[in-house]
Amino acid sequence: MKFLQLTPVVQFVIVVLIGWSWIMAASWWHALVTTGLMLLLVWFWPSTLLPATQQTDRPEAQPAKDFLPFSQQMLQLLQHLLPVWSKQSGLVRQQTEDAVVNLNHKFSDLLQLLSSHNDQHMAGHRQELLSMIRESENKLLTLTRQLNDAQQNRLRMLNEIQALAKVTESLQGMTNEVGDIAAQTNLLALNAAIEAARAGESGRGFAVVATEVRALSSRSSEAGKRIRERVADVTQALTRTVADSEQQVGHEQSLLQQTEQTISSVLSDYQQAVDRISTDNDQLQQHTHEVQEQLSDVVMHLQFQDRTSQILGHVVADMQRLEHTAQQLLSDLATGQLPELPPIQQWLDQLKRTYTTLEQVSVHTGKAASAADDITFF
Amino acid sequence: MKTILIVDDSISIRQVVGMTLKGQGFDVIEAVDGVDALKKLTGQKVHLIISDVNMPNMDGITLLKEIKQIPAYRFTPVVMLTTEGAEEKKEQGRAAGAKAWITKPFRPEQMLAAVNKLILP
Repeated sequence: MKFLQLTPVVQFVIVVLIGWSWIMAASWWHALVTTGLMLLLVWFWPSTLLPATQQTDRPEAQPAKDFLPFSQQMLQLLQHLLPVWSKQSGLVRQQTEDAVVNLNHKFSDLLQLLSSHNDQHMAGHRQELLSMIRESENKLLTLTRQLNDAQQNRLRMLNEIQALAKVTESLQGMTNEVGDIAAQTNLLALNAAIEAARAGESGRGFAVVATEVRALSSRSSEAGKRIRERVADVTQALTRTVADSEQQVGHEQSLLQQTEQTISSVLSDYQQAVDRISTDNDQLQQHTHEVQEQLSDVVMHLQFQDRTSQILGHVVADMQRLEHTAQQLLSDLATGQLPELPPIQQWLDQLKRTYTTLEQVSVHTGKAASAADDITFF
Repeated sequence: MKTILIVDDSISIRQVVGMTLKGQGFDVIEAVDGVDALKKLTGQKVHLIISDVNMPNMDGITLLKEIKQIPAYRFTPVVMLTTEGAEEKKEQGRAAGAKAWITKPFRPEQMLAAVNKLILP
């Protein structure tokens, strides 16, 4: 196999580059293509650069001498290339970190905005509104109760006036009785005057008494008549008052009913408005929850920077190791020593020991990573 | 208010953990590595510590061992938050006295559940 005919330095460089391509490649086919190109390079490797032991058919060639400049060139290339790759990787790490830090700030602001509209806040507002409506309801009901009490008082007063009207009716009867008594007294006085005249001289004094009694009877009759007239006036006034009061009470009763209906309707409107607001709030809270869940996912994904930064860090550290090795090999060549290469497996094992994530180990070994538990309590 | 110390050399992780905890009313202090964390622990009461494992100057496992030597923080729960998922690493954390091991990336609700379960009253 032609690969085995190459010098150890070239073998080492090609194996490291192939390994590198598998670590850095974005996907498996990128790595495959790179590996293919490397193998083509090996296949078409200039025969003049093969070690002397493998070129027995060309005794005139001086392989070690020819190979030396190429090895030096390759190592010098690596020495210049690796710091550039390392710096570029550092730039990627820095730019990613800056971008993630800015994103985190934005998400932090978003989370704060969302938490200011959290459930408790909303529930507090709804409770406040409901208690305000209940308080208004209580105040309005107290007002209608007071109006109702006033109405009852008015009705009681109306009953009193009606009772008073009945009293005036009995007074009218009594004045009629006074009139009858006066008529009877007048008749008695007339009879007494006739009897006094018949008694002659001895009845003269009695005739004077009979005349005075007739005069008293006449005055009683007059007084009875005036009382009847006054009672009739009072009765008329009371009847009018009762009629007015009854009409007023009826009107107020209707007003009271209308007031109660209006209050009930207004409170019902308020209740409906609160229900609508509550429904809107419920929907808003549901959306807020959904957004918070999405943000939670984003928070998890934002941690990619820490992982990629560590992976790039390990790769950069290994680039620096390769750079130092290339430098050492160059200085060995410069002093005419045969460069001593580190064993490939040892190099790869050392790289593997720097890995922190199971995915890195999986990419390195080509075996599927077993999923780590998210959280373990001790 | 309960205070939590976050120790991580990655600013983005410190931000994400801080965002998660501050949103739930915790007071958060940050440290960039183990040495910085030991400085931040002096002179104030911390109820729980969340630490990365791989950090410059002083790694998380060494920090954990140091914390257990401080009388005031001997019983303070320490949660390791790291990309390391290997069982032997977890065993190192358990042996050094960690109370939980969370593998990055973490879900905020998982982090909060662990914190609420472990934080001292």
